[in-house]
Amino acid sequence: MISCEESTFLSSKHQHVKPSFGERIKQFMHLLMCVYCRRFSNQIQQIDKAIHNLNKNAVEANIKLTTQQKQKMEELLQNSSKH
Amino acid sequence: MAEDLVQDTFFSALKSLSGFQGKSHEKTWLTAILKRKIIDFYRKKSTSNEVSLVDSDDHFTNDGMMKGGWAKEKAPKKWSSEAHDAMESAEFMSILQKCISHLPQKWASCFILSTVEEMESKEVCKELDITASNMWVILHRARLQLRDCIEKGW
Repeated sequence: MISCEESTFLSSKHQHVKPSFGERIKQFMHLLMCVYCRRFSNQIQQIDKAIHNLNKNAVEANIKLTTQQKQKMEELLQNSSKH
Repeated sequence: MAEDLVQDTFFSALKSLSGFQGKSHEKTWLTAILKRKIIDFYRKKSTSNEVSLVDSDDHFTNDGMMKGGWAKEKAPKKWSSEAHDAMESAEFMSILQKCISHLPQKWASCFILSTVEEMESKEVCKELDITASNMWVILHRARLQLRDCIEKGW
């Protein structure tokens, strides 16, 4: 039986790569009996999903530079081209 | 910071304008430069200090029968359904940002490149010059600390 430390390690890793067959069995057995690691696994999945959605929303929001920001950049560019 | 990187991107683009052959769309070209700037930004940050992974290990008990089990005060609590709904909100965004800033820089870089920038794990290892197993350990520790921090900030 794997420990909670190992189980949470696998939960984190499997956010990025597919579990091996052995890992899946070990993880399944542990999560079956451990409510804390079940929570951990669910909650980090929620966090990752929220980050993914924030990313998506940011792209859809189509954020543009303000006039002020544009002016600042223009000034900087002009100054640098003088040198 | 985001603004600085965008500005920097335009500078670099102008400097190497002669190298731009017009084979790709300007937007694609600029995005590629920006992506590079973002990776470099986090890579530079991550090399600044090396943190021992063992020292901050207080999420689990270290000895006795329950070795490797959750430390009492660190065991995940149940999140309310309101908390779940609020994860799309601006408030969550600010808590997340605050909690990421509490992470050691190397962990933060590793976590951001992997999840926010959604880079392949191989690519993250290459950019941060770490081994794959080192990266899994860092991501594990980062998530333990982040989850705990978010729970407390709620």
